Amino acid sequence: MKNLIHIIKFELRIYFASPIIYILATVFFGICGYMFWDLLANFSEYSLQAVNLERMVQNENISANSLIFIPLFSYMGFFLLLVIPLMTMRLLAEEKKIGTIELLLTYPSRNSEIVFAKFLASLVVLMIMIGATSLYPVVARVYGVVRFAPLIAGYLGLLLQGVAIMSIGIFASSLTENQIVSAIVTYGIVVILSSITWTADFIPENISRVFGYISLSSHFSVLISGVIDTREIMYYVLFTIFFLWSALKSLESEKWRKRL
Amino acid sequence: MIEVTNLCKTYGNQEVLKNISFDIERGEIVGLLGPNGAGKTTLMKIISCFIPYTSGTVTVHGFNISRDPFEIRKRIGYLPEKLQLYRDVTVARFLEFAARIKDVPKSSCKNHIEEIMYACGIRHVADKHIRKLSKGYCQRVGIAQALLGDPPILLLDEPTVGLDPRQIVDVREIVKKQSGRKTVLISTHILHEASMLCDTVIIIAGGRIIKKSAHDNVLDSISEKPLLRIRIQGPKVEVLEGLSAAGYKVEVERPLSDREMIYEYNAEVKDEPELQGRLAYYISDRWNLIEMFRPAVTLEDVFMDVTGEKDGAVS
Repeated sequence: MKNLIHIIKFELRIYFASPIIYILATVFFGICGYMFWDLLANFSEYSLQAVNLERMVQNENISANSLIFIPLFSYMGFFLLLVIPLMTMRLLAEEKKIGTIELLLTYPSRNSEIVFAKFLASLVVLMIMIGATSLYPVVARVYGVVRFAPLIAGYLGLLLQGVAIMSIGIFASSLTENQIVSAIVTYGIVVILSSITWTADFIPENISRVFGYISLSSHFSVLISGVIDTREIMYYVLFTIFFLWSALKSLESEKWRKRL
Repeated sequence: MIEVTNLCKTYGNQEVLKNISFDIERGEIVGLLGPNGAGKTTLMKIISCFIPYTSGTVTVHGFNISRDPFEIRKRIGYLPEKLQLYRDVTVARFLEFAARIKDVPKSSCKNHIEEIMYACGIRHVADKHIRKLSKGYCQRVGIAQALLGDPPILLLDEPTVGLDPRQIVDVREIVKKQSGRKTVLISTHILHEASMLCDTVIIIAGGRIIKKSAHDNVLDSISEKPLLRIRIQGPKVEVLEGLSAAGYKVEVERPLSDREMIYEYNAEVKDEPELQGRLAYYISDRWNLIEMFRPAVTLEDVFMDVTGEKDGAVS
C-alpha cells in the first residue's frame, strides 16, 4: 500500500513534467468551454421564446439541466474518449520502450501495485480535468434554474466513463511499447464497445440484449440523464476491474513472451 | 549469499544459459566475465528477478527466486546493462522515489540520499533533470539508486560501459568501496576491470561457465605454462632452425627491429634455472642474446586460453 502511494506520487510528477497533459487539458477545456457557451446561448434564447409563448412552458421541459448539461455531458463524454487514450498511451508503453520498466520491476513493488498506481495517478488527472468543468453549473445558475442533484449523477457518469476508457488505455499500453499503437488500440476497443448496439437490427434479440449491456454508450446515457442506478455503477466497476486485471496479466506475461 | 544450481534459460530454440552453477559467499566481489552474447546479462536479469528461467534453482539470501521474488528484490541493488532513467524528473526526485519504494524510512530518507549522492559524486547535480546529465553522470545515478536502501547484494551489469577513462576510474572506486561490506556480482567483458575489482572470477562463454576461480588462482593456472620470452639479435630463420634443431619449441612473437635483426621469440621451456641457463648459453654461443624473461600472465591470457580465442579478439 505504501508503495502504491510512492508510485502514484512519482507518476503524477511525470504527468505534470510532460507538456502533453497541458496541451490535452487546454484542448479539452477549450472545446468544452465553447460547447458550454454555445448551449448556454441557445438556452438563453429558447428561454426568452418560452416566456413569450407561455404554452410551451406547460408542455416542454426547458430546464438548464436538460438543455445545457445533458447535451454538454454527452459532448464531454465524447471528448474524454478522444483525450484519455492520449493520456494513458505512455503509461506502460513508454516504460517498456525506453527501458525504465527494468528498474521498476526489480524494485520491491508488486506488479499489481504498479498497474493500479498508474491507474490511480491517471484518475487524479482525470478528476482535475472533470472537476475544473464544475464551474459551468455555477455560471449557468446566473442565467436560470439549475438543479444540482442530477448534475452529480452526470459528473459521476463522466467520471465512470473516463475511468472505463482509462482502464482500456492502460491495458492497450501494456500490450505494446509503441505509444501510437497503444492509443489506436484504445480508440479501437472503445469504438467497438460503444457502437456494438448498432448491430441490434441484424442479430437475434437475445444477443442484442447482451450487446446492449456490454455497450459503453448505453450505460453512459442513463447516468448523464441524472439517474444514479447501481447497475450502471456496477457495470463500470466490473468493466474497469476486468481491463486492469488484463493489463496486469499482460505485463506479467511479457516476461515470458519476449526479452523485456 | 547467491547460489545458482543447474540454471538453464532458453529463448525459443536458443539455449542461452546451459547448466550454470556457482555459489557466491557473503562479502565477496565476483566478476562475471565473458564476451558479448555469453549470457552474462541474461544471468543478471534472472538473479534480479526481472526475467524467469527455464530450469534449475536460484537462491538469493536464502530465498528461492521463483517463490520469493519480492523478498529478493528487497535485498538487491541492481544496475541494468542498458540503464534507462526517468528523464523528466530531477536526480533528487528520482532517488527519493527509489529510496521510498525500497522502504527507506521517511525520517532518514533525506540523509541517506545525501550520503549516497555524496559517495557517488552526484551531489552537485541533485537538482538537475536527468535528461540533462551526461552518460557518466547517468551511470552514477544508476549506481546510486542501486546502493539506496543499503541492500546486502549488488548486481552491476557492465557498470563502466560507455564511460570515459576518468568516469571509469570513479565508478570502479565506488565499487571497490563496497568490498567486504556487500556481496557484489559485477558483469563485465573488460578483463582488466575484473582483475582490478574482483576476488573471484567466473568466466562464461556460450552460456556455459568455462572457469570459476579466485582471481589469483586463475592467473596461477595459466602461469604453469612453460612460456619464456627471448629477444635475440640474429637472422630469424637461422635462429628458428637452430633452436628447433636443439629441441626447443620456438615461434616468433614479433619483430623488434628488422634492420638490426632483433626479434622476440616465445619458447616453451620449463621454469627451471638449469634448463634456462642451458638455453641462454646455447643462444649466446651463436647469436646476440639481448633479453630473456618469463612474461607476466594477465587475465587476457587466461580468457584467451579458456575460451579458445587464440586470435585475441574479444568481441
